[in-house]
Amino acid sequence: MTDHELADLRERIVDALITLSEVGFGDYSVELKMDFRSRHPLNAVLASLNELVAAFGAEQEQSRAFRRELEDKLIIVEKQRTAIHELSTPIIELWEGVLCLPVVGIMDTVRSSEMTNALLQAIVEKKTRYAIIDVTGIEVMDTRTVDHFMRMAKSIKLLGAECALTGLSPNIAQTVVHMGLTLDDVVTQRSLRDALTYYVNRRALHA
Amino acid sequence: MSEPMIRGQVIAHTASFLRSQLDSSTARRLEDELSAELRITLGEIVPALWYPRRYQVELLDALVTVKGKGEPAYADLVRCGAGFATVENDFTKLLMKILTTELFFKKLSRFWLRDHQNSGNFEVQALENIERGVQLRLGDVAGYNHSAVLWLGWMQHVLQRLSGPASHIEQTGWSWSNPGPNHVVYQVEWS
Repeated sequence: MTDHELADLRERIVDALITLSEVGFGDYSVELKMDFRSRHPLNAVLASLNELVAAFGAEQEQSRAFRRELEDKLIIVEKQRTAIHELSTPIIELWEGVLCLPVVGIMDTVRSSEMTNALLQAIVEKKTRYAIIDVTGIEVMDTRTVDHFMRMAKSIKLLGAECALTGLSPNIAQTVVHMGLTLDDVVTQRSLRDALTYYVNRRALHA
Repeated sequence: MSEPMIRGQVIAHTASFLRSQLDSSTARRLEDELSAELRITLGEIVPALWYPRRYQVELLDALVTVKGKGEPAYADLVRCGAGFATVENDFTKLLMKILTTELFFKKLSRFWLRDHQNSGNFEVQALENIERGVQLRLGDVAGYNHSAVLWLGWMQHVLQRLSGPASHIEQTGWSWSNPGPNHVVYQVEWS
């Protein structure tokens, strides 16, 4: 190889590496320039590199698309989680001074705690005298959750309100008995309708 | 006329240099100088993408504002520019292994175009009577404040890696009172 050929080869490689340095910074749109007029052996290498860069760029684009899709899904999941969270503690004002907390789904410590906070907050804000916790939607309750409801009832009583537990299933009733809990702080009623009738009658009595 | 653009990696490197090299109080004052738009952009900058060159100008102007016009700010601009030569990937490392001083000057325009769009061009002219010397004219850079010093730092660093510490560059055109001239001339000599 003559000095001139060597210098030419070096320059071509430098050109290629300058372009590839853009690839190194993440730009896959670049293309290595080839001299099609000549049959320089480097052309084959450059052509292969162009194919590699294009393939890698396509992979990167696909990966970016997947990441965007995943991020969008995560946003949706987060929104749904917030919506479910809000729906999980629906506190309804049934009557003036009467609040109802219908409980459905699975109970755990975090949800029980959030429910208690929300109900106690609502009792104070709405100056509630009667709070009904309706557990018709829960078939089975573990001992910790039953204990949590009992503590909730005690807290309600401390705020000067009265607590009624309605819709207890036979399974839950047995758990309460097995735990040896006394229901001094809670009025139990068979259904939400019974509890409401009870409070309406009591209001009429005290009026 | 299209807006001058610059590679995200140049802005990212400049911002990173300013944040890491300045003392914490100066760095904080510099952050306060930046527009909300630039602060947001810096948080999500992509090295390979193109951004308006005014972001880079804003960063350099902020540096000069907080450090004042003088030797310390000049030295920071040179060091920041030198840092561009150290931002490497596998290909730039290979490039430095086979690059020669002559090829560096021959490919200067390509280096420039790798990082800039719609502004700037290099013209290289051999110096008479000096065997190892060239005159470089960087034109069409009006408003690119302090870039003359920044790219002087970059060239100086590359040249020292290629030719040793005896290389020397002098620029004319830029000054504190004229930070964004339309063209700058560099007189370069190396051993």
